[in-house]
Amino acid sequence: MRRQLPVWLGFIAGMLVIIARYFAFPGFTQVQKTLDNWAMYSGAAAFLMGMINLTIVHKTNIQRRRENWGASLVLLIAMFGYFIYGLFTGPDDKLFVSIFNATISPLGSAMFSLLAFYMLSAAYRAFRMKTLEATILLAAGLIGILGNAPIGAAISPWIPSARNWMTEILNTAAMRAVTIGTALGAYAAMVRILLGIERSYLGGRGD
Amino acid sequence: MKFFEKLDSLDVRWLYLLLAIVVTIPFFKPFGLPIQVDNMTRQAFDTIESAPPGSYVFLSFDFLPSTLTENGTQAAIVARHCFQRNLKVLVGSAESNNEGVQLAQSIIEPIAKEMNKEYGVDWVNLGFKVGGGLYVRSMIEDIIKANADQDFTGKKLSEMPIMQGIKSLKECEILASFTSLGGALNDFVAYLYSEYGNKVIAGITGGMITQYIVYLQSGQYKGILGGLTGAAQYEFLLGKPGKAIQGMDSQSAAHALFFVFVVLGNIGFYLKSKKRS
Amino acid sequence: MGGLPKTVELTIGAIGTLAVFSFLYKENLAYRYMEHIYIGLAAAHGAVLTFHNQLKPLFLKQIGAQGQYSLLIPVAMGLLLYLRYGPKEWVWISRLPMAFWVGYNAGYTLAYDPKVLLGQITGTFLKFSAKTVGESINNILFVLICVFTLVYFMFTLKREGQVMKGISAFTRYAFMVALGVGFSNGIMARVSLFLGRVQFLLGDWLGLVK
Repeated sequence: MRRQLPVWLGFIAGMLVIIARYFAFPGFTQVQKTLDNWAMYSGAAAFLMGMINLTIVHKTNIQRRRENWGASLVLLIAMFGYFIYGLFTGPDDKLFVSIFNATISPLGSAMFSLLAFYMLSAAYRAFRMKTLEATILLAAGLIGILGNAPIGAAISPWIPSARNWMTEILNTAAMRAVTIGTALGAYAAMVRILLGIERSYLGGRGD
Repeated sequence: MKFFEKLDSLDVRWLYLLLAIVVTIPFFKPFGLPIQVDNMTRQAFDTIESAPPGSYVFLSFDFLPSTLTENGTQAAIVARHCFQRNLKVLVGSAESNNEGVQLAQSIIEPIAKEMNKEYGVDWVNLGFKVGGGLYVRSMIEDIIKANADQDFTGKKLSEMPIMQGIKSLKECEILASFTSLGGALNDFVAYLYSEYGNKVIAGITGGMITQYIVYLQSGQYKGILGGLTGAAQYEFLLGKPGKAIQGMDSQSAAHALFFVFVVLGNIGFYLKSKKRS
Repeated sequence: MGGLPKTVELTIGAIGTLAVFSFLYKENLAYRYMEHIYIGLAAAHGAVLTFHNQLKPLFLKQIGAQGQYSLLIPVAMGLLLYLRYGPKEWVWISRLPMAFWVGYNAGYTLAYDPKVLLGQITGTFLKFSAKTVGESINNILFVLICVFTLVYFMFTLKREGQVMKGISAFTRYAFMVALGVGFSNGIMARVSLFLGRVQFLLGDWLGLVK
């Protein structure tokens, strides 16, 4: 039962949507609308999962005095402090917003922007004309690099035109095939899930 | 040859410093390179330009601060255009992005104030809801009900004048998602464009253009703003230069640096392989 | 409570930004702490917004004031998920909501996505005799690349004979162009994010750039 019940639940839930969509029985459509709401609210009820997971991981770091355990302690203090404050005040409280603007927003932006630097060193060290294919990739990449910013047009109007042609014709055609392929692959995966052939998403400890 | 050997053995941090300098200089000494508008951005602009005044637009803030420079700038200029066209703006996150909804407030509020647009009359922030595609489906049924009759700050949606003219998301003329993931765009096309013919605009990061342009070619999107360059082109079309256009010279300078280093890397590689053979 | 003055907000943000950038020089404590603070605050932010924007109105309005008690069922279902932290013999129960969500979304994908896919397929039906010669060539090229790429990725087809080898080579070259364009778009995106931070430091914080 422990293995079969989740699979049956998933199958019934999925089939209900499919039947409601393709056969449009009035009763099914109503049930589907109710389940839409249920799925939304059940997801919301799991709102503490992220915090619990972080607490478990970082509590262990602190208890075992692992490297950077001080950072783990700071993480827990920041997380629970902000959470409790936010719980009592709300998302439009001025201090709550200030903390967001002063920390989450700039830190999130800065962390992701580091990738620009790594890309430069990667472009220098790895983007090489080793084969004919690599040469084509390099040529397209170089035209794209210039054509993606105003400098391309400033050098020659041919550069943005070439970039647009490559993007809109060659790239779109290749990506169209990839989109069709991945969509078909996704449908196959969904059928496997509904039929209980694919169960890895149910993994975890305990049977 | 010696030059390339030296360049190869150079501490990579010098490269980082060079990039930082190259990006910084144009802010003090702008080159003023002209902006050229591509087909993707023009279509997005024309779609909003042709929307009848008073019609509804849903702007979905589906990005984290990590892509604020790209998506935030796009959202700001599109929102400005919507206000200029007297469109009614519904703001939310169809991709369940809490940080996006918070950023929306700080991005739209000053623009609305500047353009004398009143909260609850001309625009509203629907707040954050877990659910993604299911949230979109619920809003197709009933926007107020899907949001439990409350906006971002807890005010009653049913008492706001803006909500008197709309019940379902399918009544929105245009749906735009500013996103670094694309989930909401897929939902908009699947549940709204394909079923009711609503127009979908994609505000995506530069890296997503390659993959998402296929939906523009098929007509499933009515425009794409691709990265900061897309935002700059939109600012140019609207005649309102902002942060995106301000950044374009730095963008150009950095791209030139990338170009030079890729070329140098290959010359070095060629000389080395010649020497070896 | 009142918010922080704008300059304080910006200064804290700038210090955080510089601490993150210090990672480029060397892995260090300032970066490590900022990274942890960010993760902690971001997790709390999500929970706070879910509580205020979704759960509070659910309990106070829909269940409390309007008496929609049936909504307690999804809440109970969501709560089952927490059993994964409970005794081992209860863990399997936490899989029930997960199975429901995955199955339900699988149903949605199968029910609604094919129409999107059909749009993609019909978008490839392009006129070979278009208004201009250039457009016609582009359309022919588009269809050929698309069809050949689909053939290329059918791994059950053997790549034997001149025709198949030709198709393979043609597809590989077209795909290299797509990858090259993708790489240049990736560069554009990352550079934009960095220059946005420079704008923040020089413009918003220091006021050196207007």
